[in-house]
Amino acid sequence: MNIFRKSIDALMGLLSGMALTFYYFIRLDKVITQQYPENRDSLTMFPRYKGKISLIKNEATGLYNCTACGLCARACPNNSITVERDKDPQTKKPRLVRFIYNFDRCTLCGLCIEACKFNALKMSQEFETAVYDKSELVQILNKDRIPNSLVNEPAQDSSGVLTTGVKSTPQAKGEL
Amino acid sequence: MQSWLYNVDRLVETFSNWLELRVGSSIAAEFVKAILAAGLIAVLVSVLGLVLVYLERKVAAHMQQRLGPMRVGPHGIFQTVADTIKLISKEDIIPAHADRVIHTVGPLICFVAAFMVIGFIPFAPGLQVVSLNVALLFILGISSAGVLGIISAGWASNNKWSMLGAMRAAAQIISYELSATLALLAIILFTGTLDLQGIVESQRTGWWIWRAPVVGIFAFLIYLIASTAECNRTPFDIAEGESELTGGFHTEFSAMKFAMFFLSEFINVFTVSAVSATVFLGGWMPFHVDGLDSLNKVFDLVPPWVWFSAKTGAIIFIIMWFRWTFPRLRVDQLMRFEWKFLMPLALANLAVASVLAVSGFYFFRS
Amino acid sequence: MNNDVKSEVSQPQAPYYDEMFINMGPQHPSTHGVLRLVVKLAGETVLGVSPHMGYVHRSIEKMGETLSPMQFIHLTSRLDYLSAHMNNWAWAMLVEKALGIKPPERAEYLRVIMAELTRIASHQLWWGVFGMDLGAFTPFLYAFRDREKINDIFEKTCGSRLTMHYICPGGVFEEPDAEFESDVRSFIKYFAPVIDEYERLLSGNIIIQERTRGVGVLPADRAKAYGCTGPVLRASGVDYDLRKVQPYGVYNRFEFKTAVANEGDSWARYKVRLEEMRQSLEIIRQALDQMPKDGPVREKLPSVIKIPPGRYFARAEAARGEIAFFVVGDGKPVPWRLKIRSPNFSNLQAFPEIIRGWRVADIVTVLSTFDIVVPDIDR
Repeated sequence: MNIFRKSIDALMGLLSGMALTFYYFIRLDKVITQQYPENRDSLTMFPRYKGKISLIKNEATGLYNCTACGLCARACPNNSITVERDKDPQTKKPRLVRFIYNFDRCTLCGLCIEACKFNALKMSQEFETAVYDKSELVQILNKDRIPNSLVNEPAQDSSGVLTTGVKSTPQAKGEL
Repeated sequence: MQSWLYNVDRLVETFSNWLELRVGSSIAAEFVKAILAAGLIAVLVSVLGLVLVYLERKVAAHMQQRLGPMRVGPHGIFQTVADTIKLISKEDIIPAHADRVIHTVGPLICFVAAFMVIGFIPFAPGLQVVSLNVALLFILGISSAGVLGIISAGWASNNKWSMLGAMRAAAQIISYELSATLALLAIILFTGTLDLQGIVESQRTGWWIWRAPVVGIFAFLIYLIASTAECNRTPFDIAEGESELTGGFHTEFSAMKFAMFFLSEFINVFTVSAVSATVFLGGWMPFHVDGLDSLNKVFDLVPPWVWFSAKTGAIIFIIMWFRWTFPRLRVDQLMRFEWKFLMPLALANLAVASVLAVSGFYFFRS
Repeated sequence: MNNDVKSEVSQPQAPYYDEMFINMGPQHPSTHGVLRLVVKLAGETVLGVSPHMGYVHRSIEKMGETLSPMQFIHLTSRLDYLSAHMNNWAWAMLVEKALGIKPPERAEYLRVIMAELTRIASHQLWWGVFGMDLGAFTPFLYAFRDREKINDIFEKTCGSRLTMHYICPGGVFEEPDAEFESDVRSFIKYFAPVIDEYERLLSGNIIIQERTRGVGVLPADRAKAYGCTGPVLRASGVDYDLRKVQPYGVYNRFEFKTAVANEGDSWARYKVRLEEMRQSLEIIRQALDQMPKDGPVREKLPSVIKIPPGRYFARAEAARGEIAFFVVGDGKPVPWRLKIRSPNFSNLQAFPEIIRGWRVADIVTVLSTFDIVVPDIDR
């Protein structure tokens, strides 16, 4: 008798599972797939989404807010930012030459945004960042504002080398 | 109704008369008809493969709240064509110390065993390639030759995982054949003939699934479960166990050989659905109840091949439904289920069916 | 102490075939990561399993010796990435202990809510993958459909969906999103009946029950000897939940039950995790009700953090067990030595002993109910 009862219970359990999948089969309105490249226009990320970083431009003057202080490069855990600066020949104040961003190392942790005191960095909302060539991941973020005399100078990018530009980890800084 | 839509055998007869006139001797005509029939079956198998693979992907997708193939053609209907082109153009890789002859022959055995059975199935009155009076016995015999293909595939791969899968498949398939045969036998007792066309004719007064009280339903369920195991489908797909053996016996096969395994699995599904539709659900016979002539006339309006396709399609859907709902059984549980539960049940079913058949205690005996 | 508890693991008899070694290699659909298992088989019966790990070793502990505490947070997320918030929390507690800081009240509640949401998300993924390992492919998609809702909540507040560096020393990073509370409440309302749907699909299925009942029994004393924690331990009958035994944060203000089972087999581990999901919903509901409506969420830390000399230790209950950090500081801005106690490492140690005598298919079942995440083992 016990096996009879056990079989009936088993059968009801199996049929209940089948009813659940059948329910989802006939309810076409419950499909949750989005057809990706076709719906690109309507696709927006949430405001706080952490895409790759980008420099903020001052709308009025058209210049980047970045003062090349190097705090972001110091805060970054794995040397994804290299800030090149020199002194402006006219005003004798430090100015940003190149802001080199190693996207292949960045972990999108956001510590650079937090460290910046001048509201110069933000996390953009780009999520389509795939490239075919790895060297395209070493990006210069202030390309349109590199000082004219230095545009053609080769960038000292830090791909593979731990200490160039501003040193970021405490060991590299010699504090240990 | 005498139009060709309903009586396809008139079409066949007309064509065969024309052929005899053209060719001259009837033996040559038979020869040409045989070649044409083989060609037609090949076309049917290909089309079936295309349609069934696409359907499987769509059914799976909708049960999982997604859409399935959508890009190749409107709603992805050419997806299987693209898959076939890909499979044909792939490189055929044979592992290093594998047995080359058996590696090539294994998939062929599986495919031939699956392919040969389609000739016996009656699609409509008169639309049957081979008319044999022991057709059901022949079908059961040939389809069990598929296990040879699986074992040889597992052996020839020189891969311990494939060997495991092949061993499991061998045990599983030869065990579940018993239950399948016993379930079919329960209905044969009522029909009195093994000829598939005769079985369909005997259901003119009603389908056996309800005409044989209780025994019909049980036999149908047992046959459904046993044939799901025969086709290596979940919940009985330990032979190819995707999560454990990543492919089981067909891991080391690529390109056309894999396509043969793939296709033979789907053809097997079609075959067991067709056989179960023929034996239990009446094949091409519309839904008749003896005595209710006006009702019968209403159901006769639908052409017989539509009835056949609908019934086979429904059973194929149920088999796919099983696959996407249930997890798989472990191999010892599978064997225990067969030998200790399903086969005794099938034997008991057969015993009760024989009592019912002899005493005439079923609906509309005629 | 119950003295007649059998210390030996029950082993079914193995039939007498030749033995062979088989490799469930680093690339396998069911080893949940890059774990290599060398399995000794006699026919279908397992005679022994030897896990080989180290394929995902990233020297996180060594990197910790070169990074300041704030910089190390992003690496803790990547240990057991499915319980990222809880790893961050354990690290945050350690730094707060070292510096003597207490985070604000609102931050503590937010930490609890985030951690419990992560626990639910982790168990959802486990459930889906468990179904898939056993051959049912549909639960995987149902689990991910529900997990998307939690991921959306995380994305709105923390910005990322998997490795969220939201809980940091001093509190949480920033105020949550304006829709945070309504989102979480609607998720609770949505998910409570969905667990019943999960039960309908998998727990009520006779095939699942037959495959997990009595399989891979882990006795309580062996579990304690190996140092297993988390659902693996609680399913063996030991009522040890870090949130009740040593409440950290504000866990002592909530009423919830610890999910405990007695048999120690795979079915017990399965049921314990489903029950934990329900209890987490309870905790989140209470936390939302008790949370102060406004207040600071982050305590200011000195700009250059120097770890005072000494040894510090902090532990938290992650989804898979107890994660703990141990730091030896010597006054410099970076630790002198950092050690991570990962729950999966201890859980995996119990695996070779209990799988002996079962079949190949059971390796996958038991490993799946142990819920191993391999990057946590290799660190």
